Amino acid sequence: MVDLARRQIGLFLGILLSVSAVVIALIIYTMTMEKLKQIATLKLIGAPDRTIIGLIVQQALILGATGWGIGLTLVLVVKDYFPRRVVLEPFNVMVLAGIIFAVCIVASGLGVRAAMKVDPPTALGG
Amino acid sequence: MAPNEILIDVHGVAKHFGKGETRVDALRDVGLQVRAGEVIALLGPSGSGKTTLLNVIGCILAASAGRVALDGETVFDGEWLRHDLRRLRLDKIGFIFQTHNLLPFLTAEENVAVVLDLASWSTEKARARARDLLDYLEVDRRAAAKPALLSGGEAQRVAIARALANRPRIILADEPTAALDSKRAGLVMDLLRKLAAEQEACIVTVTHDEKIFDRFDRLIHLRDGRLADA
Repeated sequence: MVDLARRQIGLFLGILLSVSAVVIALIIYTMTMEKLKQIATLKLIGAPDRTIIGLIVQQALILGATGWGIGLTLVLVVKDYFPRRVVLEPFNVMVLAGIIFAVCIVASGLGVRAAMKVDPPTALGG
Repeated sequence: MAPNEILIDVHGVAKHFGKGETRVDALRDVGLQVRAGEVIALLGPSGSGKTTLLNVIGCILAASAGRVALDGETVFDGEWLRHDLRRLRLDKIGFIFQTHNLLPFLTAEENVAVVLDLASWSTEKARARARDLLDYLEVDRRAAAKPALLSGGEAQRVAIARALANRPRIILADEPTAALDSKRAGLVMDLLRKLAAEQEACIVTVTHDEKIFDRFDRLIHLRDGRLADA
């Protein structure tokens, strides 16, 4: 019984993380696409690729950390209102933070790819 | 620093796009020299090659043939002679755009300092230089404002400060007054002329704006990729 519940929770967690990864990737991609002219401007004035990649990854990590923080706060605030609960140990919370960190790094790949394709002349003209 | 030093020397530059029947010759055997202190305008109808020439001088587009020397250094001679083109642009060229292209999440001061951060200046020195430039361009009281809160004229002055931050001697401007009314356009051009004289820089401007033609030392007309007259 316990093993079945553990597997069900594991499955839920897996699905949620996969969906989160796709959602984070799409959000980062969309945010990057909205900033193509700014990225082109940075390239034009001399910013190296590593600076631009750093900005996008930083954005993804801030997004992930914010989500992790809000999620954890929500869990701590509402958990007492539920009749049945799963024990959430500090170790699990930290593992989840590590997984979210990795997901954000991978998910920012789409945005980085779009940013690397932008030509500096895009910054010129209206 | 010689007063009439040649800062831009473009010789026999050609640029074509496509091949065979789809080939378009954007520039044909263009030669141009611009000296320190000069403010020139590139004029011509749409498709005449003026933006292509600006891109070639700005090291953001490789010519198909010809030679380009900037501030005494030959950077292109049939091929790029420098491979760190972004560093080259950072060190030698300042860009001013049609719309100011300031980064919306940074303040006016940070927008100027960002160029110096890229050039590896210390944060304190970069901020001090940014404040000096904003003061020089009389927008220092707006240093803490985000671009969305600046007027068109103020934003363009901040953009000019950003272009000047790393002390480039070549300023390339793409329709810098297009978004401004005639009074502000005149003020911006007077400011650019003053900068060119004081900083011994040259300014190359692509423009259609007839109301500022009298502010240039030379008007360079391009037609079908060739210099019509200079």
